[in-house]
Amino acid sequence: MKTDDLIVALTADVGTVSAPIKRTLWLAAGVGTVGAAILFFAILGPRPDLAASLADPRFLFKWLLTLTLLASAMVLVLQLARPETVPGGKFLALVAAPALLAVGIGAELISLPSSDWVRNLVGLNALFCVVFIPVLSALPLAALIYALQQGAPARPTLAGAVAGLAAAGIGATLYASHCRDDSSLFMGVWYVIAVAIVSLAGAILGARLLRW
Amino acid sequence: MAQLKREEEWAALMRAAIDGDGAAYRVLLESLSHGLRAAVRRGFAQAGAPLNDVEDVVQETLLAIHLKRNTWDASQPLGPWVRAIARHKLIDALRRRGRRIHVPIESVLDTLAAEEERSNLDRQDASRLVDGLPGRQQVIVRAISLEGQSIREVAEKLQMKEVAVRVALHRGLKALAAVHQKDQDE
Repeated sequence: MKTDDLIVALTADVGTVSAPIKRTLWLAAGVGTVGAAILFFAILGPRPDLAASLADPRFLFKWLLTLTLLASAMVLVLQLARPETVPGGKFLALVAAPALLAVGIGAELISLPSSDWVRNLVGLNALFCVVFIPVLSALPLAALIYALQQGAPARPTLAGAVAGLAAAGIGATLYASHCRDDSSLFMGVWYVIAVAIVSLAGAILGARLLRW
Repeated sequence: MAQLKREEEWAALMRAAIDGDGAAYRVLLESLSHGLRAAVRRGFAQAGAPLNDVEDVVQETLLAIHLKRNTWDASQPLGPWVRAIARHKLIDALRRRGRRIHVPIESVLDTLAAEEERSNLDRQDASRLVDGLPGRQQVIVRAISLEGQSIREVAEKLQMKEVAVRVALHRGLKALAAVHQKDQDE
């Protein structure tokens, strides 16, 4: 086929433009969140003392952390979905959640006697956390990867990995309202491992599914 | 200055195209194809790749521009977005041909807007693309592109609904883009 002929065919197909990628990604995040929330209430549910916890700064800090992860990763995903190179400086946004976590851990180390550190770090349900954050993140990750397939990510693996961080932000926010471990020491180990698993899954999916 | 004016024209044409203006779209794609051809040829020449595949990459890039136009931010100029897609496709194409990329691709594409005289190359066939399509899609893509028929004419000839022809055309174009991807995986 000659290029001019291809242009004729493309012109005939002018009416089929999909929704702007930004909208598609937000929609995917929304659908993924709803799906994950339904799953959450079906299999885990919030902790019994959730209402009382809403007044506890240590509990609220967990949400602050997971929502910061979600917001910072989502901002980047919107850019990574496009073909243009994302300037390195933009990735600094991803430092927000780890920086916040470091502050939380610092505060914990100052306020708790050192004899309590290990107990807080090990927590009540570490394995549960490492399993269920990825489980709750699966639907949001699938939705975001699907949305990214409608995009044109210049770096598919990276786009997938950051989509994994955003999905983990959703999963971890839900899980945090079930989990009775409110220590930043606990989050610094177990949540971090869980988030890393989801991000790795995103990277693998990205490398396989997001090439164009 | 000329560059800036061209950028504005391109963005205006693409906005019109996204609103469904086929004539504007055609003008845009023709204008882009000249610059792309020149840029891809330079990229191939610098990497020492044979020039007879240039037109394949031009077509592949045009297909990507078409199928991924939802990733263009309408508040931004069109040129950088087109260059990003062309860069992606050029690097892919050179990798597939086993070329190490140490040409400064950016500088090749900087001059995307520079017109080059139309040569024999852009008349060249890259027909192996369409040959890869399954039956009905191939018939429809051929009828519309090679034979210049309208969607309505094709629908009447094949006794299909117009909307079905549109869907088949769109699928065919997506499949064309995927033919390249398959090449890449092999």
